[in-house]
Amino acid sequence: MTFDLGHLYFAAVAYLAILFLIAYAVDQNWIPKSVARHPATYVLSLGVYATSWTYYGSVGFASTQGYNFLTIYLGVTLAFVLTPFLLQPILRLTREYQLSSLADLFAFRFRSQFAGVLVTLFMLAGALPYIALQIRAVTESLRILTQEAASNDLALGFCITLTAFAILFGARHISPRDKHEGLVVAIAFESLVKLLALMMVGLFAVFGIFGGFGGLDQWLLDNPEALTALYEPVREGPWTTFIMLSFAAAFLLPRQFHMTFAENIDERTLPIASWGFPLYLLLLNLAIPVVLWAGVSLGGPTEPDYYVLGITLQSGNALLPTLAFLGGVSAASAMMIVTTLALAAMCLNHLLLPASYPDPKLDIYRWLLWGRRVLIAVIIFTGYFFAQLLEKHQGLVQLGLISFVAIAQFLPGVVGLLYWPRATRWGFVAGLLGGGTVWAATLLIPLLQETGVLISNLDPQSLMETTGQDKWTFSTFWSLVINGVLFVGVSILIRPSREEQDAANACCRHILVPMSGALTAFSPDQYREQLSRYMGESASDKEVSQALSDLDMANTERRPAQLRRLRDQIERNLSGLVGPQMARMFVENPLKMSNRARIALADGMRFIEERVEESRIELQGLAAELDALRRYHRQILQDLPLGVCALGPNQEIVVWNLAMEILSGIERNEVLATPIQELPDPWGSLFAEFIGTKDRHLHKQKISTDGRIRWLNLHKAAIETPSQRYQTENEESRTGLVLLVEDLTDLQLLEDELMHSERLASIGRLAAGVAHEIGNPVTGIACLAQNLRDETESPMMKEGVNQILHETQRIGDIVHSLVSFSHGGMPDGSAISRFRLCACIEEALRLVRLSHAGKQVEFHNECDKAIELQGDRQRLIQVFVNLLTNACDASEPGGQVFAATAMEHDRVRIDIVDQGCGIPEKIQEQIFEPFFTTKQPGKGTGLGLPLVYSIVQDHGGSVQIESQTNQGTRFIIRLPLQESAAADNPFEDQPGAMSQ
Amino acid sequence: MRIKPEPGRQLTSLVLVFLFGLMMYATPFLTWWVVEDRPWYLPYLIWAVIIGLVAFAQTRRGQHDL
Repeated sequence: MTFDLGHLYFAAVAYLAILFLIAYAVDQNWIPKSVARHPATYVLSLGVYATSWTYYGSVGFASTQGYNFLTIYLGVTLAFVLTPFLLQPILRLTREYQLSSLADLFAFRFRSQFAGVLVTLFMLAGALPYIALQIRAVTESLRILTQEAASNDLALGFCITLTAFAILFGARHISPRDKHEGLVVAIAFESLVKLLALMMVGLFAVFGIFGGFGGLDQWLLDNPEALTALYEPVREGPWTTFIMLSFAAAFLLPRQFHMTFAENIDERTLPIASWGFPLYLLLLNLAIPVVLWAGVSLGGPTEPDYYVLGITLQSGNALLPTLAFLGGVSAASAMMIVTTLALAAMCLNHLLLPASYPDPKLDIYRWLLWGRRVLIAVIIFTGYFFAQLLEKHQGLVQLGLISFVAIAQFLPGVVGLLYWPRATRWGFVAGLLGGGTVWAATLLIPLLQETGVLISNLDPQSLMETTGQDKWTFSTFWSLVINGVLFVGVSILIRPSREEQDAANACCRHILVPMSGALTAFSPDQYREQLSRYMGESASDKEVSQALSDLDMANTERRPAQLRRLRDQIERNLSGLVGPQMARMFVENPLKMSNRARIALADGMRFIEERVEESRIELQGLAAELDALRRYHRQILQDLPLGVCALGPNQEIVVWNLAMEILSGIERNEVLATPIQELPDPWGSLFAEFIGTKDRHLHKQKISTDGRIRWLNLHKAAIETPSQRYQTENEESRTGLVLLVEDLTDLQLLEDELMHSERLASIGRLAAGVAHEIGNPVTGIACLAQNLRDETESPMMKEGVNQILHETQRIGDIVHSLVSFSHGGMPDGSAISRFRLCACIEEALRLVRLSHAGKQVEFHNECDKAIELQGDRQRLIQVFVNLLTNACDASEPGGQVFAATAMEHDRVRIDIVDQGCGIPEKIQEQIFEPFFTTKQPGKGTGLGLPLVYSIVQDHGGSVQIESQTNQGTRFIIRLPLQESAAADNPFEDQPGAMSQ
Repeated sequence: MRIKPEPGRQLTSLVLVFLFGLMMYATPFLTWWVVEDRPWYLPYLIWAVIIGLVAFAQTRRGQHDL
């Protein structure tokens, strides 16, 4: 069975077009974003690891190396087991600092452009054989299906097509920072196709070739050497070496790093991938031994490397071979697209940009976009030329393994990057150069010698033979040993720079305190202006606006600490665009900071707190306990009923607790890191003045906020800064300050009220004395008037005398009320007595009528005269006086006020009703609070109703209020009724009207 | 009441799985299962056990994190 070349080529292009449509549909939201974010999609997208090597080459590998072929996946499994220790820290760094490749990561950690260049060159050298492998596999598969000799034009056509698709997938948009969700879904789809195709081939091998599992078992019984050929090489071959190589390749290969970290959409999917991805690889490899045995049983001219394709030709129809071919195209194209995208980004950031930075007048985004497109084409065609150089007898696996050993050279660097703060850039560079040299001498040069590209007298093969090790073990072992020794040795010999130490803190200890100091730009607009010298106006405007938006910051921001955060954010965003080193250069030159300036305490504290909040779930053991303690202390400070404001060495605000927020009305986020002097008045001037004095305490400072007078006590104390890290160059201001603010307003009001009460009490005592003195002459007048009435016969005289007697009686009542009221109640309960409620209310009315407001209102006493209560009569009079006075104050002149009683089971209900302005509903709950008043200053104390509430409570009663604005207020008092009084009530209600 | 394991213990369980994998694949234990009379699918079975253990440990860890 043979196929037409044109048909197959068309099928491959159509398949790639479908992939592009899938990616496009995701980008256009035709396919829901939830599909792109699903863990299964992420797991499948990691399947880009399985290339033509896996798809075709694994069978060839198994035929020569038996189960050693599994090592390429077992190492990956072990690497993913260590996800929390290895992959998650890298993912965190790449997300946090917008690092898109391994070269970015190393350049960021070692603060070295040279490290980035070296990693990129090494990656390129390592990836080229791998790309060549994919091109070879596709052209060879076409040859097998068409039975025609593979031509160079075919490979060239494949490369041109792939270049177009790679640009469409990954270099279509201006901004490279965005995640390519469409690419992720397309690669996941490719992985699914690979898996289905290989499983179909496996099922065909079992049922189509062997006639079922029984037939397979029988064949294995008949050919026991087949099983021996699988197991035997494991005991003799480089099993452990391959596991180690694939362990490193699992996350360090450019395509793996790109899909695992740079294109990770949701970090919660990584733990699922730690078992999901190995499971995918297991399913993918289940068919390999069966396909091998099927190929062996069939015989034929096909090389074991292409048994996957060869055995399908026995199926008799075109569907299965085409599916198998498309699976191979899928494996090769996914690898080439993702690898070239990753390598293009690396080359752009670490080779092209440092070598020829574009003129700021050009559109930098367009320049970067076209730079990336050109690099994609250059990389694919370099791979194409490399493939042309290779001899056909070079196995697919051999090419792949050469790349794996190259990639493994980054393993010491990555481990050091994550776990060894002492590692230095020169140690890393020395290690990489040493390991790389061994790799080139033992694997690359022999490969080039075999192909005839390089002619030299070097004979590393003979050296390897003398050691008795195979070339993979020899090369891996010695390259990594020399790499590791140089890395550690040189790192110990050379001290890390300050920059490297900061980066080491970010990578190893998961902390990075933002830089502080004297910025030369004082507003976002100045940032734009200064950045535009490097990036052009349009790009700088876009970048600053983006950073402002990321931080939810206003364009009017002027606070130094916030501007420092803005600077850091711009650097991070630019890192995603042009790489960490270029981003640093972009930001450092125009947005310079004082070299001597150190880190602001406020920035440091906030940054560390934010970081700890984010990484809370990672804390364990002692760290978790310390974090709990920190939270406890912070909560104490936060909930302290005193205002606390702590200042750093630069007098910037570090702590601003809840009481301070309530007192000042200024929120914490508004003032943190702000210099104390810049607080709005009166706080800024008050605190600045207090800090300037030598006094440690200031008492009863009177300030006015929001139209309200406040009295404050201020205290201050010096505090040592928690770390030398936060010191400034100014030795005199090394310590911070803590300010305590005590609100004395309520206490002051109480004092004022007490003084007022004392004054009133004095007047009351005086009035009582005066009343007593008036009482004697009035009694005399009354006696004389009675004598006169008895002696006179004149009716007119009698009428006049009666009026005198009536008025003297009135004076006597008033005097009696005043004297009684002035005696007051006895809080110890000794004044408890039985009294008639109506008379008590009548007495209160009499007193209220004495006031100016009381004279203008008409009172109605509608109380039941028979009701008796037991209690402190004088204190209850106080209750009614207060309520009736309020009712008078609320009423218009000529208004009416009612006092009425009613029986409610064992209680008596007393209603005091007015028709005044009413009390708004929103303040009804507050009126019983001390010092709350709606009256003009000086007219009310805010203590009348609290006193009412307190006295009624003491009598076991309750107070209720019903009020509607402009319709009046009803106070309802319920007091316990004496049983005897209620039972023996012989009187009907006898309402009496009393008027002024 | 079911007591949730601490995150540290769950990380430890992943380290134990890693060590189990190393023991099966990179120690003389290898010679125990790499024998011709073993079924052909034994390497896959050991592989599947490791994957299952990782899934179990990660699922418990995920529940704790949530």
